[in-house]
Amino acid sequence: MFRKSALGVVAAGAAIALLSACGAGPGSTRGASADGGGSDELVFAAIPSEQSDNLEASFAPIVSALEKDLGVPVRFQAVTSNAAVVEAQVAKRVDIAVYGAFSYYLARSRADVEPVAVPLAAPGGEPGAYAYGVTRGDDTSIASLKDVAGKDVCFTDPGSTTGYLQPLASLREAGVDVDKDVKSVFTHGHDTAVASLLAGDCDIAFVGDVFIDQLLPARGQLKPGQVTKVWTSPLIPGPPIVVGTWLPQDTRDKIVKTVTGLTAAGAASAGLCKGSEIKGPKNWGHYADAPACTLGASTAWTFVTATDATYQPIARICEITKAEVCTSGG
Amino acid sequence: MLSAMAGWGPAMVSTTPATRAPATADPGPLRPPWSARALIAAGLLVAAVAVTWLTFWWIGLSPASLAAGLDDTARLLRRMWPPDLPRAGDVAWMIVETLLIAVAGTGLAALASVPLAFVAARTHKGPRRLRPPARAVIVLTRAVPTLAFAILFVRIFGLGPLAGALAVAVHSVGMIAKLLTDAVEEADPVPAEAARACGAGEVQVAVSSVLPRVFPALAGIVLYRLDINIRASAVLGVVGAGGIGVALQTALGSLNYHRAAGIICVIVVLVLLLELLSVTVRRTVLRPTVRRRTASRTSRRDLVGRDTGAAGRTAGDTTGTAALPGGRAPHDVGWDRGRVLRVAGAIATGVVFLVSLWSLDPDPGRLSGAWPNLRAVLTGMWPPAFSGDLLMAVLESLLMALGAAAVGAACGLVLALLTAVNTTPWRPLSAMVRVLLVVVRGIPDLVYALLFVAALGLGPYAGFLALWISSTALAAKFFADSLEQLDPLPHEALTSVGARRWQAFAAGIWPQFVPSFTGNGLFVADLALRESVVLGIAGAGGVGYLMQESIATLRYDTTAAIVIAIAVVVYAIETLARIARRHLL
Repeated sequence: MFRKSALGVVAAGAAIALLSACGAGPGSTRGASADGGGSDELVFAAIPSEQSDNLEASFAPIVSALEKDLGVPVRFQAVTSNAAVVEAQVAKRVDIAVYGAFSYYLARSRADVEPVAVPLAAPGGEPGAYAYGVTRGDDTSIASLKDVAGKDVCFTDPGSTTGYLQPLASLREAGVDVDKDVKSVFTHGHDTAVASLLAGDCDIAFVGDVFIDQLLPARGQLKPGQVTKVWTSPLIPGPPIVVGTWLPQDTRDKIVKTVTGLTAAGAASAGLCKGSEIKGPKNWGHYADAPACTLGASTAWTFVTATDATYQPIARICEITKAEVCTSGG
Repeated sequence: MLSAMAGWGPAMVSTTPATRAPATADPGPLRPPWSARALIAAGLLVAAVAVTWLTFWWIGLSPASLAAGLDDTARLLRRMWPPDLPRAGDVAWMIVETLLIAVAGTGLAALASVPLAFVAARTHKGPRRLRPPARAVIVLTRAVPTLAFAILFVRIFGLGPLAGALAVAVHSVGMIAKLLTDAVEEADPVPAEAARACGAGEVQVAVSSVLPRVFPALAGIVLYRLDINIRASAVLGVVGAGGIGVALQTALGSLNYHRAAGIICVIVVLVLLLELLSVTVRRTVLRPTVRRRTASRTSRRDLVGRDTGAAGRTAGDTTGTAALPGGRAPHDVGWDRGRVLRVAGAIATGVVFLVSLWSLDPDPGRLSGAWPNLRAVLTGMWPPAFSGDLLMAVLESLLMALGAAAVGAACGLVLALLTAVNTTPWRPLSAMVRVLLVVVRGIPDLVYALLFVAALGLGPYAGFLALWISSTALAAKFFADSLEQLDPLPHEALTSVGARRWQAFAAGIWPQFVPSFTGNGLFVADLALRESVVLGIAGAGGVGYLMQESIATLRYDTTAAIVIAIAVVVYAIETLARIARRHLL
């Protein structure tokens, strides 16, 4: 009896479900009808970082500037996996994306993409970031990279340029073989690397400069004197804005023009982030404390043009280290 | 005999009076009256269909776009071929590392779960005020993700396997205790009542009469959780514990799909071995218990008033081959092969567990500095930061999880019916489907998400499909296990009097299966909600994404709010499941 009524219900339900499949719900995507990036909508994808509280909100000014200049809707997608973004670009289903420098190095041989712009942290600065090697404030046994041999090292993540690959290359150049001479720990985050260092899980941690200089002190997680900076890396290219080369040339040009024409303060005065303005950080010169918009996850001042050549340092790091993550096939 | 009796089929499945008086005038199709049981079951079914429909509408399901994108998926799959394995030594070390942490964590969880489950069960007759806190612990440990516990324990114990194993243990308590509670409630109450009548205390009753009865279920649950924990060892990378999951995460993160495919093969083999162990253990432990349990069940249903000893004989007499007396007489407690195997198995399990505990290498020095760290994390969680966006994300995830669970349960039911030994149409097919399910389970959610993202682009549709696949595999596993634990007598009785295959199923198996189908189905929804992290991978947002973002950006007040919201939803699902079970059981 139950079974009979159940069958009836299932049949009726299935019919309703099939009928409803024709209508589009609020969450529906553009699907395959616009395969190949038709100009009806652009998809913009980004990966959350430790630096942004709300990824979608931090990219909102860029997205609305792009919508205004290109005249087409731009759909923002926050994704937790860089592999998913790269695969979506391989399948030409993400038109514009922001991901790490090393992810771009991996993506360039797989997807038809090119970097067009890279964030500039402060007016007049250089586009890119530095990696720091930091030790506990009371530990004087490490003065340079040579002294790292025989110690415990905290890296962030095997796919991080600042937190792993660049330090690995520099250690190799200083004569330290990470596989043999040190015990390495991956902490999966810049802040956790510092926390692990302070807790004594390792003797030196390699992290991005912004965490030591700004973020961790601002969050109260790092007090002056708790860590000593013993090494600063060469300039490492920042996370690029990558666009698909399947987009028409003039669309790509417009994208470059829009993002390089934005400044954080300019976007705020143009009303691109009404109600969610931030105060400019101290390193913005006379724009410090001025109302500004967040431009992307790393709170950039503006963007400058970039090309594939900007990312040559990554290729060089891979040559030096022969790191396993670099040599992946695919 | 079968063919001769086939004509009697329809009468056989209805009710006994019809078979007793075949010569009297045709009584017409006999139907039992509508009952609360049927109404609840039908109501849940309608709700499931409605939610599925709503989900499909919400994500704009369109099979055409999936078909159009399959080329891209095929290209991605081709890039994963051929699989590439790390060096054999590395693989062996990763497996050992993973197994030690998973065994230690699962073992600790099992030890904690047994008393919790007994106190939380509806059949528990001890102090009643203990029940709500026990249930709260079960729900909370389930609602808080392993990642959150991992971060908490890293603060306390530092990076290393100890924090990883404890995180795994605490999170596993929720699932093991919940499923064990269900098993305790389903266990035959008669022996427990008999023991109580003789003056046994609650602990004595639990240990002597209930625990042996639920032991097969417990063994199955613990082994399945071990399987989940091995596959989830990627999370342990966060606490520097290493293992095979971390290698997989690194391979996928660096787009090294050949290596990822190789590691997935290793995981599949591991899970397959574990499944084999699980089947063997359950068959070894299950056999004698099934006989005893079925015998006493028969007594409860049909022979009210008679003593259980007679019931055992009656059951053996009436049902032909099914319940022939076992190998030894009931009063004989000597050593036979089965008992030797069971004791040896128990000792081996104990030794492996102790070795794994020892491998965690706790550092007492760290504990002294733990309190300030812990306090910093906990004060960061207060007050929980609720927001409209957050509640919307919970709602969205819940909708997708319920939809994925409903569709997954339907597909899982079909697969389970093909897998379970007592329902499969063909034994080799059962083995094949079982292996297929293990392969499906061994492949991580991230890979499904990638395949669907390649086909469909980022968004809820790809996330939903990935969630659907993992729900199907989960549901099939749960359903197959509980089908095999059903009382085989009604089915065999019907078969022996000539019922056709589907008739014997409809009358002998399905009515018995409805309670655990409902319970497990709702549990799959609960698991799907917590596995909805995969939605974030595919760019479908939801609560899993917010959780990861809040942990990555150290916004613990948001994390706390998410955990509270999930706990409330999980508790609501659990309550619904409880009400349903009370009426169905």
